[in-house]
Amino acid sequence: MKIKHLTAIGFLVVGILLLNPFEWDRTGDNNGILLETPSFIALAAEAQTPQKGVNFLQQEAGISAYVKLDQAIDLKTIKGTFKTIETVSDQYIIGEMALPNLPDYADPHVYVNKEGWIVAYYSNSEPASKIVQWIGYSGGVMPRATLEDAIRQIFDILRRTAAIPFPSVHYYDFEYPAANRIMVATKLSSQNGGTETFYLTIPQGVRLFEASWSFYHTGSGVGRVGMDGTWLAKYTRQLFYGDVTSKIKVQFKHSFQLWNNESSGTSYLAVILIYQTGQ
Amino acid sequence: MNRSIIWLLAALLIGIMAWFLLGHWSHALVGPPPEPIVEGADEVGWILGPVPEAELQKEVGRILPRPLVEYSNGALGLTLERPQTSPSAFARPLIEYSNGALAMALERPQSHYIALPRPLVEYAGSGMALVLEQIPEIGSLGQIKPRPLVEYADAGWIIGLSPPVGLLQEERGKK
Repeated sequence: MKIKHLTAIGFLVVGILLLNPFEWDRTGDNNGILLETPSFIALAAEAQTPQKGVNFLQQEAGISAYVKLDQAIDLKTIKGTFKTIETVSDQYIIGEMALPNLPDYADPHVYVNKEGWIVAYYSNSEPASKIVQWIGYSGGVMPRATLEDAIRQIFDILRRTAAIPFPSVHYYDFEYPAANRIMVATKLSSQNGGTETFYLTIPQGVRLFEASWSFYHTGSGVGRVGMDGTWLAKYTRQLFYGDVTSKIKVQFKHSFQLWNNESSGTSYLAVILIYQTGQ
Repeated sequence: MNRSIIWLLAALLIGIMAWFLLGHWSHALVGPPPEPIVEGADEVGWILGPVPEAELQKEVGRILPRPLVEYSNGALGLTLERPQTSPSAFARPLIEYSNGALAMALERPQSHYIALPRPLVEYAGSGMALVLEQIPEIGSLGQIKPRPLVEYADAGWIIGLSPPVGLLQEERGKK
């Protein structure tokens, strides 16, 4: 074999490596994102102080949305957006924020600090399905998230005095630090007396942390949410939530039913899954 | 160049190439991570963003000042704690009087109260100041109940202290 041959082989190897034709895009499609697991344990240990300091978000927060603005936030300008103030200092404010046309029990908590962090969250005792924002939803594209709406309320106040772009909103569940995905499946029923069904299977390799649902009815009638052929309840309230985590079995085809009994109203159902996969 | 060295180099290159190819093939064979299977839904999507960035993690770790409460006259010492066990008492720091007689939690104000004695509350290391006060409240049976208020000195916001029924009973039961 001559030097020419060796050079040719070398170019072949380098070419294959550069072209990389077999690489699989592990991020997949449909907005799937593989994420790193944060070292919260180390963080908490580092955060311990002689005053037995605790981390309120890690202790109390569940599903959360957050942004970091590239500018400082004057807390005095935004404190009026809170429905109630829970904690305040010269560095941050935590409070509840009312969302238009939603009942009190849908109010998220919001943490804002002067360095530009805005974290909207529900407590870890509340179902993650509270993030589904049905107001303004009429089918099709996925509903917005209530947590993002809460952040936008803060942002709208800030934008009165400065032209700042709305940053991308990130989500995280402080209750389940290992979770790296949230899936939302929605169904609507506008037929009087009609029942709509969809199916859910959790395959091996998916570590499910929470399965919760959100029900919304636009009319004055009632609707029902069922699972595996059994009605969970009949809801006359406009907005209702529930948790079915304990009912979910791996590799079992679960069914969810949505029943609407009003011709002038529409019932909506969303099932939210918080899980870990790919790690 | 010695022929055996050339063959050795060629074998080495082929080996490297095979190693990379096998690596990619095995990766491809494993495929993407599994996802829940949804059939018949109108819409399915993911709305997850990344886990907190390092900055947020630092921020989360920095929100620590745990309020230590001391009456300005030193006669009473209080400590504020967050409930560890009761999820219903979310965001309600417990207040335990040093004599153990009372344990109360912060709740939103039901109405405005007139300020009476005001023990100072300072968050350790934060410079934050609160004022605690106890005011009389007429109970349902005509009894006067002590009801401390917490007023943020800087903003004037007032949060009433009242015992959430279940939590107070639970705390009393522990004593």
